[in-house]
Amino acid sequence: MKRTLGLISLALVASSAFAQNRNAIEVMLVAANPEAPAPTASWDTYKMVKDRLGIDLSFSMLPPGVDGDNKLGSLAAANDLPDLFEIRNRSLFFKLQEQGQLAPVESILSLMPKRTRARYSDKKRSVLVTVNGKVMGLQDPVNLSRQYGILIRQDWLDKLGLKAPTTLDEFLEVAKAFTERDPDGNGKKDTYGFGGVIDFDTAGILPGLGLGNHFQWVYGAYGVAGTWNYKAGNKFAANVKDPNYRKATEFIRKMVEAKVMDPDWATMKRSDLRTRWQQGKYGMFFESVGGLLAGYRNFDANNPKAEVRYILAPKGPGGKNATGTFASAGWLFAVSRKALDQGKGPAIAKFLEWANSGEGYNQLAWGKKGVHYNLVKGVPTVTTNNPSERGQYTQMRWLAMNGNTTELKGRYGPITSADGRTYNLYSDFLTVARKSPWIDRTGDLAVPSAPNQADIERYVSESMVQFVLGQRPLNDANWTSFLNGLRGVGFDQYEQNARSVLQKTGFIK
Amino acid sequence: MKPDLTAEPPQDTPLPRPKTSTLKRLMRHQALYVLLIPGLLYFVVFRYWPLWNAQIAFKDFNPTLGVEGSPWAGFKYFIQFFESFYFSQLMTNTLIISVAKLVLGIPPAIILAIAIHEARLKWLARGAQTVSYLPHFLSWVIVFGVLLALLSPSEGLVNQAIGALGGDTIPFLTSPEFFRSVIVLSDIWKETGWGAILYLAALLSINPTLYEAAEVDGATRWQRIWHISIPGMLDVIILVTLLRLGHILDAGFGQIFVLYSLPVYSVADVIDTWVYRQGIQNFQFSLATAVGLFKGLIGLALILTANRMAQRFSGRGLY
Repeated sequence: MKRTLGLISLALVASSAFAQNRNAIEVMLVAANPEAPAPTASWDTYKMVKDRLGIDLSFSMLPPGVDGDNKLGSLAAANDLPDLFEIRNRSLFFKLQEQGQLAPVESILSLMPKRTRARYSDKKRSVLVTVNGKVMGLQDPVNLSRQYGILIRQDWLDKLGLKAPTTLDEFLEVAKAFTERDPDGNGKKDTYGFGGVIDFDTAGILPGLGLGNHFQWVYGAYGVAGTWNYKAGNKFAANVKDPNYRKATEFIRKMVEAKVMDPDWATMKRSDLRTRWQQGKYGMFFESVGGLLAGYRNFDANNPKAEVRYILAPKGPGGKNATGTFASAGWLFAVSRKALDQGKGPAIAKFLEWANSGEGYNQLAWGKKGVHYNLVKGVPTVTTNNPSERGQYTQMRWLAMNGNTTELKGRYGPITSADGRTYNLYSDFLTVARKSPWIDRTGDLAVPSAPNQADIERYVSESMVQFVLGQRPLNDANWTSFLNGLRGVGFDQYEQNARSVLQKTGFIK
Repeated sequence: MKPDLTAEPPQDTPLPRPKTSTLKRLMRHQALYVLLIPGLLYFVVFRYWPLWNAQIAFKDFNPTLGVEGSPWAGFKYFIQFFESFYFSQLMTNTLIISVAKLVLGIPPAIILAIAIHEARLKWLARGAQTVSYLPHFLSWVIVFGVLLALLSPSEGLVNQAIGALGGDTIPFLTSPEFFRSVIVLSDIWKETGWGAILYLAALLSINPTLYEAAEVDGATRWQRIWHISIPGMLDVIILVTLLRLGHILDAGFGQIFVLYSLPVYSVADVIDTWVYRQGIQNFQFSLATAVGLFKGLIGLALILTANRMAQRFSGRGLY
C-alpha cells in the first residue's frame, strides 16, 4: 500500500513538473481550415520547433464560431486555459481580463522585437487590447478582412440580355428577372434572384445588430451599415434609430414580397447557402473569396459554362453604397496568466518570433515547399496538390500570415473551369469587390457587451425579421413601438456606454 | 428526480425487528449493500457534489478564485433573470411547450402499448414496436433534416403537395402560428415508441388469468382493455407523469435549439435556450447556475405536491 501511494505521489510530482516545464507550450487556435482535420502527432513542425527552438509545442484546434467560444469559456471556468490561445469573441476577452485570467504581454513583446515592430506597434490597434494602461493581448493586423462581396451570374445576365445592377432599384429588377424568366433554361421556375442568410460571422467582417452580414449592403446603400453611426457628441447614436434604417429594412421587405429570395432564407445556415449557389439556384449571392474558391469546382460541375463575378454594392437613393462593415484588426491572441506565472513567457515569445518571418513563417503559413507551395518568382504560391492535406498541414497559419498583397495573391490564384476557361478570382475581387466602400468599425471591438447583450441582440434581430417577413406590418405605429421597446431592453444605457468607450479610445471625438 | 435508490430495500417480513446492532445488520445484508454502492456513488458524484458547486448561483464566480473563494453576490443573478425583458415570455413558452408535450404525449404512448399488446400477430407486434422506438435514437439534428425535407417552403414534400393542390405554401418552421405544433408533434413522433415500452412492460406484468376469467365471463375486447389493462397500467402512468412533472421547466433544449430561428423566437424561446445565449454564450456562469437552481426548485416543489395529491386521490404515489 505504501509503495503504491509512493508511486502515485511520484507520478503526481512528475506530472506537475511537466506542467511547470517552461519550454513546453500549449497553443490553442481556431481551426484555420475547419473542414480539414487537425495536424497529426507526427507533424514535422513539432520536430522542427523542438530542434530549432528547444520548445515542446502542443497544438489543438478550437471549432470556429460559437462552439469555439464555448469551449474556451468552459476551459476558463475550470481555470484551465492553454498557454497561448486565440479569442474571437470580444466579450470573452473582456470577461477573462476582468477575472484576471489573461497575462499582460509587455514583457513578451520586448522579447520578440521583429514581430512587435511588424504587428503590435500600431497605436489604434493596441488601444483595443489595452485595459487600465496594460496591454492584455496580441492584436494582430488584418490578414483576412473585407473578403466578401456580392457575386452575380454573368451567364444569366447575358442570357436574359440584362446589365449588372448598380442601384437598389436595378438590383430588384434583375433579381425579379432571375426569379421569373428561367435564366437556367430548364423550363422550371426553380431559381432565385438573391441568396442571403442571417449570419453573424465575425471573421474579417463585423455584422452589427440586425440581420447580419448578408444584408449590410442594403443598410450601406442608405448610409446606416453597422451598429453605431460614429458621429461625435450628441449626434452619436445607434443606426437603428435613424429613419434610413427603416427605409433599408423596407427594401429587404420588398425583396421578400417580390419572392426573389429563397423562401428558406430565414432558417438557412451559411452552409445551406453554399450548397444552393453551387447547385445554381441563385443569380446573386453574398460570398467570400475563400468560399467561392472552395465551392467553385462543384459549382462548375453542376453548371457547365456558368460564369460568376463580383459586382459593386448597389447604390441607394442618396447615391451611397457599402458592401459591409469591418474592423481593421485581425486575430487576437492571448497569453494566460498561468503561463506567465509559470515562466513560459520567453518560450512563447521565441516561438511567435519564429512564426513571424523566414523558416517559421513559411512552415506555418504555407506548409512544405514543393508539396504545398512553390516559390514563383520568389513569391510563395499554393500548389494544386490536395488542398485538404495542405489545410491540415497549415492549421496554425493565422499565427504566421500577415495579410500583405503578395500573400493574398499567392493564396487566391486563378481558377480554371472544366472547359478550360480561366477566372482570375483574386484580381476580380481586388478590382471590383474591394472598390465598393467598406465601413471601418474597428472601434466596435472596444465596446464591451451589455449585461443583457443576448436580449438586446434578440430584440433588434427578431424585430427586423418580423418586419421583413411581414409578420409585423412595417408601418409608422409598429416602427414607433419597436423604437420605444428599445428602452425596455436597456438599449439607451448600452448606447451611452458605447459612446463613452469610443470617446475614451479615440474612435470618436 | 430519480426513484430513491438510497432507501433501504423493502423488508418482506412484517415480523418485529430483532434487536441487533446496525453493524450486525449491515454484515448480514452485506451483499445487498455492496450492490447499493455503485448507485450511491452515482448520486454522490453526479447529483450531490454538483449541488455544492451550485453555490456559484449566489456568487460572482471567478475561476481564478475558485468556487469557494468567489465573492458572494446574494440574489443578484436570480433578480437579473426575473427582471429580464423576456422573462414572462420565456416562462409562458416553456410551460406551454412542456405541458403540451406531457398531456399530448402520454395518451399516444398508452394507445400504442395497448395496440401492440392486443395484436394477434406476434411478429407484427414485435416489428411495430421496434420500428416505433427507433426514432428515439435519432439526434435532433437528423430529425431537423427530415423535417426540413418535409416542411421546407421551397423543397418540402408537404408544401409541394399543398402547392400541387393549388394552395399557398406554409412556412411551418418560420411561422409563429405553426412552430409550437411542429415542436410538440415532432417530439411525440420521436418519443412515443420509446414511452410505450414502459407501459408495455406494465401490461405484460398483468396476470393473464384476469383476461381469461374476463373472457369466460363474456367481456368484450374493449371491456377487457378498459377494466383490466388500463387499471393495470395506472401505477406506471402515475409514475411517469409524476417524474415528468419534475422536469416541467425543461421544454427540450436540444430540440428547440436545433429547430428554432429568429422568426419564431416569440413562441419558441424557452428558459434553456435563453440561458444558453445569455448565460453560456456571454460567459455568465453564475446566471446560468441561478436559473438552473430555480428550475430545480420548481420541479422539486411540483413533484412533492403532485405526489401528495396522487396519494390522497388514488392512494398511490412515487414513494
